[in-house]
Amino acid sequence: MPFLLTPLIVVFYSNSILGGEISQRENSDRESNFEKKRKRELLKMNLGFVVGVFGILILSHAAYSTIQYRGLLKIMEEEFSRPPMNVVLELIIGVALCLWAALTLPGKFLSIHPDSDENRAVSLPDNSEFMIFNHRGRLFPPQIDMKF
Amino acid sequence: MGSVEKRSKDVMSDIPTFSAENLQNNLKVIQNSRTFLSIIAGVLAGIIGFNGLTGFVFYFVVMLITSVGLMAKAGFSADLYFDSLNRVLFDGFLGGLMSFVLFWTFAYDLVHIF
Repeated sequence: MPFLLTPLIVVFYSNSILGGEISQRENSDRESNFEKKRKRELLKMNLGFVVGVFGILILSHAAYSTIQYRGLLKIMEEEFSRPPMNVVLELIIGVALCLWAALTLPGKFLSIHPDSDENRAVSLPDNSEFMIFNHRGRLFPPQIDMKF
Repeated sequence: MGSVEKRSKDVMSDIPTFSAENLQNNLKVIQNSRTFLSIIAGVLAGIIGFNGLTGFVFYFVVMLITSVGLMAKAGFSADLYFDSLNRVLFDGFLGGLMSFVLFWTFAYDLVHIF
């Protein structure tokens, strides 16, 4: 039973960590778009993780029910053709949950077009203080029509 | 100045360029999804009790469902995320077969024989 709570603990812990980071900054009321997107992505990944764990638990419970059903059939000396209907229902639910988790957990698809909004060519690097722009490159005409 | 820009724009539209590291990230995502789902398919086939050829047919059915799911995740427009449609549909088809057979025999032994 406690191990069922650990995914929920992971969810709340990660959310509180992100909340703690932001409250320590000076402008704590405003979240940047980047922080919001990261929080949303982390929340969705954690939700997918919890859903996946639930799906696996439901599948293992269905396996246990099938083992018991087979024991019952051995007592009654009948053939095993297919699992009982409630086990089939559990299997369908478990597989649906695992399918959703398998499509959400590994991550998002990133656009491969170089012109899209999220593939911007320039982002502020950490050492932007050391960059100078007063060099001879200003005499060259711009070659590529890049989005900044 | 205007003619220089037009020429460079023509060169840009002739060569198909895309961000290769994003393409690699997308391929990794579908590889992970297919591996996980082939393991789940193995456990399912073991619990239901498939024997022989039926199990392999079940594996291909699950892989087709995975392809449909991945297409739905990509929004049914693979041009935005992949360079060719065949990649998203048929990339890791046979890669998960070994994992499927492993977990199929494992679950079958666990449920039906042990």
